[in-house]
Amino acid sequence: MPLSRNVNGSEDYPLRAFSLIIGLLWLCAASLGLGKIWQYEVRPGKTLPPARRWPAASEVAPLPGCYTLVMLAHPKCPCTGASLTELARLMARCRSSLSAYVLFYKPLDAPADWEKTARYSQAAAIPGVRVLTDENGREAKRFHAATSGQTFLYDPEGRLLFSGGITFARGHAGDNAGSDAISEAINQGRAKRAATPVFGCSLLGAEPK
Amino acid sequence: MLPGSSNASEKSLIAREQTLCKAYQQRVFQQTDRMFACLMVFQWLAAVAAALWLSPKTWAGPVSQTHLHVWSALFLGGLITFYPVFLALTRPGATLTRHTIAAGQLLMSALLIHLMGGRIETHFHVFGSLAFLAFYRDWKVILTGTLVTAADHALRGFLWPLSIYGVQSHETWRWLEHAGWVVFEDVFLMISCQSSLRELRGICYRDASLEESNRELEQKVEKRTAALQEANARLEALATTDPLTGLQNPRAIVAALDQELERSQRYGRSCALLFLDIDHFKALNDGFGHAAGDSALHEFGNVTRQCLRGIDTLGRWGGEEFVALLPETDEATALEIAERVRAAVAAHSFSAGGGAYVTCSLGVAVYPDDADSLSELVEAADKAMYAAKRLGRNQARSINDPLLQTLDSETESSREELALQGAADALARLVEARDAYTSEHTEGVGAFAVRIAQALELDAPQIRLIGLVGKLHDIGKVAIPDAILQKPGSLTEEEWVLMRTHPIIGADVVSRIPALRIAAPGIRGHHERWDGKGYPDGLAGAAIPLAARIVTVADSYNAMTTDRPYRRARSAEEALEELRRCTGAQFDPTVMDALERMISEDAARSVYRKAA
Repeated sequence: MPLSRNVNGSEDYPLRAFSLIIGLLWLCAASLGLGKIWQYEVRPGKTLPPARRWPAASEVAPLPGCYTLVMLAHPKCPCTGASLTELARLMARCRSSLSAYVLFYKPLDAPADWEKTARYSQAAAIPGVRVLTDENGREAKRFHAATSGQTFLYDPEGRLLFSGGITFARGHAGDNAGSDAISEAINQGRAKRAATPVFGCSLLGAEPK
Repeated sequence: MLPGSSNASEKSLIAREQTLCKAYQQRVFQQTDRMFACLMVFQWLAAVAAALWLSPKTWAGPVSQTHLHVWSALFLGGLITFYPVFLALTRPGATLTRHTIAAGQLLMSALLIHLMGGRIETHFHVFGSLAFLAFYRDWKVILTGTLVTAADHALRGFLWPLSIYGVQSHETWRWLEHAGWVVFEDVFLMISCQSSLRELRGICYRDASLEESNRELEQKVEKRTAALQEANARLEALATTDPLTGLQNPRAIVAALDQELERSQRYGRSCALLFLDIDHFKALNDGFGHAAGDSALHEFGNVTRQCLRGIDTLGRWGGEEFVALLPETDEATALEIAERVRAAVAAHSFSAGGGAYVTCSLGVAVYPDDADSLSELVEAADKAMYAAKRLGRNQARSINDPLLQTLDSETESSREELALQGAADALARLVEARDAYTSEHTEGVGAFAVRIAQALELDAPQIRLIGLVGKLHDIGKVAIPDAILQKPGSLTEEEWVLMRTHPIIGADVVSRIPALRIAAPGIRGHHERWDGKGYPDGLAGAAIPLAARIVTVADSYNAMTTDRPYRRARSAEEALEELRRCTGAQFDPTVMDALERMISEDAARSVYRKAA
């Protein structure tokens, strides 16, 4: 159903101009929409001041003689998949001197195996990683974690070396400042950056997205 | 070919090539627009499905809600898809459409990359989209897509460097590194587009040349087809036309007959065939030469043609024989037409031989009454024509004429009859050689006497005898000196004495020929009078042979209606009046009655023809 054309077969100038203006408006709207999404993607989740030493009340004990990494994760958060991917890479790089826990949040009244999602399986498949259930987010509260994917690195003496996320945006795996900082801390004893933003769902429901 | 015309031809070819190229490109643009319309709708649906599969919900502790990705895929994906698809459907082939599609496709790449969590595999959508855009064979479209991708990277690199470069600090020209990979692909795609366009131009040029060659070939074919058709028409005319008369030849006549018989059979209608033969044509041919004979045939054809209707077909059958096909005609009408032809030919003065008069005999047969096939029809008409000849010539006969039955019953005597005819013709030729007038006169008297005999409803042998007497009645004049025979003034008493001997001499001559002996009494008595005052024997009334009485009337009528050196011809009415005056004295009243009947029938027929 071609629109009106003049005797030469080409479209009339007003119609072309109108189409062009509509096209530009469309382009602006689409660009704005994409911009908004990216704005959302790089907006970090809530972070709390971390525990400087391994929480004494924690039911999880640091492993002796090596660096211990703790990741608090929501089992149904789509973005956490990227954090686990980055964790797998990190573990592969620092396997000899690093051990890790991934603690999956489980609400109090949740049915059995509520937390056994694909994320849970993904974490369990990473060599050197121990996967535990964090009933009602008790450990999250002890470690002062508010966002899924938040990672803490403690040295063998239980001192905090790093706290933050190991992705550069929500759900985006790839090189990121968090992973670099952890590698640096393990290899050199200290990292240039002790904290990075965390991208993921709210762990305990304090911050709906 | 002149240099100027060569240049003009080349320009024309190039113009045509450009037209073809443009049309082909337009088709490609439209087809690719439609393809992208389908692809973009599919992509949109795929994006929604991916969002529902990968990130259906976002969580806050135990509480969940629909993930922003789902709404983005649905609404932002819909927005990106809608306008390019709308343009592809409403303005396929337009420049703006394909550039909008290019922008939309690369925006969709950005959205998909985002929805897929920035997986490196999703970046292949960018390269795949650029490759698809190369289907347009328009490098400018690829450039538009590239600019959108580059702008996306540049803006994101500037606003959210972490999302692209993995570091918070942004480097101003870092986005160029990423865009460089796209440009790398673009170079090959654009080279491919240009190469494809060059090939297209080559193909279009060859197509244009081919079209030109085809056009020239078609013109040649048309010209030669026209020449061939003309030659065929000429050949057809030659194959179906008699070259001498311009009438149809036997082949064409047979074809026409075949067609007409089939039509008659299909519609249950009759059609008639006239078989015409010029009487004594050989004498004309021999007397005036073949050129005159050919001319007479041509004239005969023309005269006959004028007597026929528009629907009738006349052709020359061979020699002096002609046939006329009369569609949807019964026997009565065919006989009327035949009589019209006979009368017209008899009245026509042929230029061949200086105004000679000829007669013709006609036979009539009708399909399907008289024949079941073409050959039977021709045979029947031919037979009727021969019967007319045997009955004295200058007449038309139907195959159903009762006289023919009589003739047929005498087949055993046909040889004798042929001998008689031959002898009669030989003697007639003798008179002709001596005196042209006498020859014409005796032919005329013979034919007229036959008609009177027919009016008297005599049987066939009698009619034949009367025709013979009429033809030979003046044979005795071969013994009369030219000075008397051709004297313009009145004859003296001595000359009359000599002249009156010609019936005796004529009877004497024919009595010496056995086949003609039966004609002798008629010849001897053709100057006898009803009242007994005639010569040479002074017979009266019924004592005078009937043949002689009939020939006397025919002789007098013919003599009075023919120009002579010493007087002009009288009209038919005047001649008839004179005959009436002498009826009972010189002429037999019964014969005169028959003559009156015959003439009144002729007049009625003439009136009918005029009215028709």
